[in-house]
Amino acid sequence: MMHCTRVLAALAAFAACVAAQTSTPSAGTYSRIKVHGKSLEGNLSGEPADRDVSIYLPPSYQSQSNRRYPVVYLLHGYTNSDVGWFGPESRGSFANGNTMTAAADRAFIGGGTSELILVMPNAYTMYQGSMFSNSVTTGDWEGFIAKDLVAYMDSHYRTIPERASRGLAGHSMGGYGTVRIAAKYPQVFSSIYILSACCLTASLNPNPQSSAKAEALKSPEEARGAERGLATLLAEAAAWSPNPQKPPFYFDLPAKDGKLQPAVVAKWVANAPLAMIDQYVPSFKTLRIGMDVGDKDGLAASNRELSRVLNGYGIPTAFEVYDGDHTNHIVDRMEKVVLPFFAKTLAAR
Amino acid sequence: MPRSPLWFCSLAVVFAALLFSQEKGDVSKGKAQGKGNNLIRPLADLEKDLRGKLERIKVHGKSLEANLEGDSADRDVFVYLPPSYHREPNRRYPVVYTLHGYGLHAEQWVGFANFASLEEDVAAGTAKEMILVAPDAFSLHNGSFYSNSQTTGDWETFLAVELVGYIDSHYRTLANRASRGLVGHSMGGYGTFRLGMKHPEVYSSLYSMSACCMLDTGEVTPALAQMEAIKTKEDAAKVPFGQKSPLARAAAWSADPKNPPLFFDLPVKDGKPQAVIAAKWMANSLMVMLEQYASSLKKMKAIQMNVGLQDGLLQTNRDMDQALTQAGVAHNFETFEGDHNGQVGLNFATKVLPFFSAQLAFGPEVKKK
Repeated sequence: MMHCTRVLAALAAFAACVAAQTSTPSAGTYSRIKVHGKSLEGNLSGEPADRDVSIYLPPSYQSQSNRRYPVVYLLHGYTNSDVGWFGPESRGSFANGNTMTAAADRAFIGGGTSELILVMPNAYTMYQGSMFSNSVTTGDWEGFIAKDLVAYMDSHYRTIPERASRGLAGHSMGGYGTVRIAAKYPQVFSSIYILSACCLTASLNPNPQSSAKAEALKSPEEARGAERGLATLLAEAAAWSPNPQKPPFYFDLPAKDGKLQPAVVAKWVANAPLAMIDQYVPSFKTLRIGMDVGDKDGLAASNRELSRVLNGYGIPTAFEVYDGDHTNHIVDRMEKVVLPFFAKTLAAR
Repeated sequence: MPRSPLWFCSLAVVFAALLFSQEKGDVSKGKAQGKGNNLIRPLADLEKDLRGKLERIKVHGKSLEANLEGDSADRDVFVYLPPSYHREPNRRYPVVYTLHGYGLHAEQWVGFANFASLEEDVAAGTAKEMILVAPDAFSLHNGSFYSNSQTTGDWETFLAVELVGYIDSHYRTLANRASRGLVGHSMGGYGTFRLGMKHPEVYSSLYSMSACCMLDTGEVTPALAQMEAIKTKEDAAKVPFGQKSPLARAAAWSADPKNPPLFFDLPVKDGKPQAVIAAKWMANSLMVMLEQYASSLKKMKAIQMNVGLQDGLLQTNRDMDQALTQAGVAHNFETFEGDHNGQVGLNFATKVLPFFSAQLAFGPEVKKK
C-alpha cells in the first residue's frame, strides 16, 4: 500500500510537472494602463497628466510568480503613439498584425532572447508629440519617464528595480528623447538604444517664413489635425520655447511677422543634442549604447555624427547603418537587434 | 599692516574686469575699472582681524581627473569657520558655497568678497554665523566656467556632489539643502545659476552677483577671430589676460578630444563662422537653458540677483530678470550704483550675507510628520 502511494505520488508529481510545462503561455501578456505623471501636472497645454501606457509582460511572467525581470522603457516617434507599436492602431512596419507584442513573442519564445518587460508611454499630445522635453507648457516629460513611470513600474510589477536592469530606447522623436533622458538621468538607466533619432541638430538660421502658418492660428483647437510640417513647429515651440505669459498657446515661435527671433532660435538650438552633448559626456561614459539608422533615412548623417562625437570621447556606440529608410524596418530591428541588445546588457537575476 | 604690492591688487581687478570687456567684444575696454584701489583685501590683512578661522585645504575632485588640458584635480578650497565653531563642539552650521569670477583665484576672491565682513555683520546683528566655502576654479585659460567639459573637467559634479560631500563629512555642517546656499560673482554668478538649475536637490537659495554669460552667441568678433592664431599652450600663455576668455569658453563649452593640444574648437575657422560650435556656446547660455530648467529653479526657496547700473552686463541681467519672470520663476532683481567690480565687497557684506542669514535653515531639519 505504502509502495503504491509512493508510485502514485511520483506519477502525480510527474503529471503536474508536465502540466506546468505545457501550460507555460506561448505568448506574452499585453495590457494598457493609466499612469499618473506628477511631473506633467499643471502643464499649460492642458495635456492630461494621466497617461496611457502600454505594458508587455513576457511569456513566463504569469507562471513564474516569484521571478523578477529587467525593464526596457520604449519611446515612440512623432505623430505616433503606443498603440501605433502595440496595436490596435499599429502602423508603419508594425502594421498588419506585426505588432511590438508579436515581435517580442518571437524574440522571447524560441528566439533565444532573455525575457524582458517592455513599457511604452503614450506621448501623443495636442501637437502630435511631446518631444520628451522639460517644458512648463508641455510638462516635464524627462521627469515623467525617468521618475514617475519608473517608480510606478517598480512598485506595481515584478521588476528588478535597479539601474543595471533598466534600459531605454526610442525611435525618431523617441530616439531624441532617449538621448535627452539618458544625458540627464544616467543614474536611472544603464543601457540605451537610439533608433533613427530626430532633432540632433538645429539651424541657426531657419526660414523666417516658417512660422507664418502657425502665427495665423487663433487657438490650439485650430491646430488639431494640422499637417505634419505645421504640427511639428507647434510641438517644438511648446517643448523648447514655452512662454507662460502668452495664452492661448503659451509658446514663442522662431519668427514673428517674417522676422527671425534670435532669442527663440537660440532656445531651439540649445535643445539639439549635438549642441549639448559635450556637457554630458560623464553620463554617456556610464552607459552601454546601441545606435542605428537606415541608409536611406535623411537623418543618417546626423546620427553618424552623434556616433562620431561619442566615439571621439572614447564612448563605444555599436552603431549600425542598415539597408532601409526612416520607418520600414523598425519592428525587425526591435526583434532582432534591440531586444537582444538589452537581453545581453541588462542584468537579470 | 602688511599689504601686497599695489600692482597685485590692480592686476587682479583687471582679471575680474575681463569678462565684461569680452562680452562687449571690445578688447580695449579690458582695463582696470577699480583704478588700482584695493578692491581685493590681501589675505594676511583679512586674517589678522578674524576671530573665526580661515582654513586653506585641498579637495580632490574625482570628476576633474584626467581633464584634457591638464588642470590639477586637487583644488585649493578656503573654508571660513565662525568664532563659535571651536567653542561649541556640538553646534552645526549652514554652509554658503561661493564662486569666484573669471581670472581670479579663490584666494583673491576671499579678499574681494571680504569674508571677514561676516563677523562685523554678526556683531551688528545683520547676519548669523555660518560656514563659507570658496573653491578655486582657476584653469589653464583662467577660469573653468563651472561647466561639464572633458577638456576642463566636470565642474558641476565636483562642486555639487564631491565638494559638498567633502565639507559635510569634514566639518560640522547642517548637511541638508535647506541649510545650503550658493553665491557667485560674474563667471561665478553664471555658475550659481547653472548649478542651481542642474542640482536643485543640493542648494535651496541662490544669489547671483553681476552674472555673465546670459546669451553667448559665439559671434565672430575681432577678439574671437584673433584666437585662431593660438595653436599651443605656449601661444595661449602669451595671450594678454584681457583677451583670453574665448579660450576658456571654448575649453568649457566646445571641447574636442580629437583636437590636441588645446582640445577645443572655436566658433571660427579660417575666418569663417562655425555654426555647429556657435550652437554649443549658445546652448550653454543661461537665457536658453532657463526653460528646460525652470522646474529646478522653482524648487528654490529664494533666488536673488543683482547688477550695477554702470556694468556692461546690466542689460543681459535685466533680460534674465525678465525671462525668469516670464517663466514664472520667483526671484528678486536689484540694481545698484556701481560697475562690475567696485561694489562686490560691500554687496557681499550688506546684501549677500544677510540674504542667506534670512533664507537658510539654521537649525536641524524638521521632519514632516
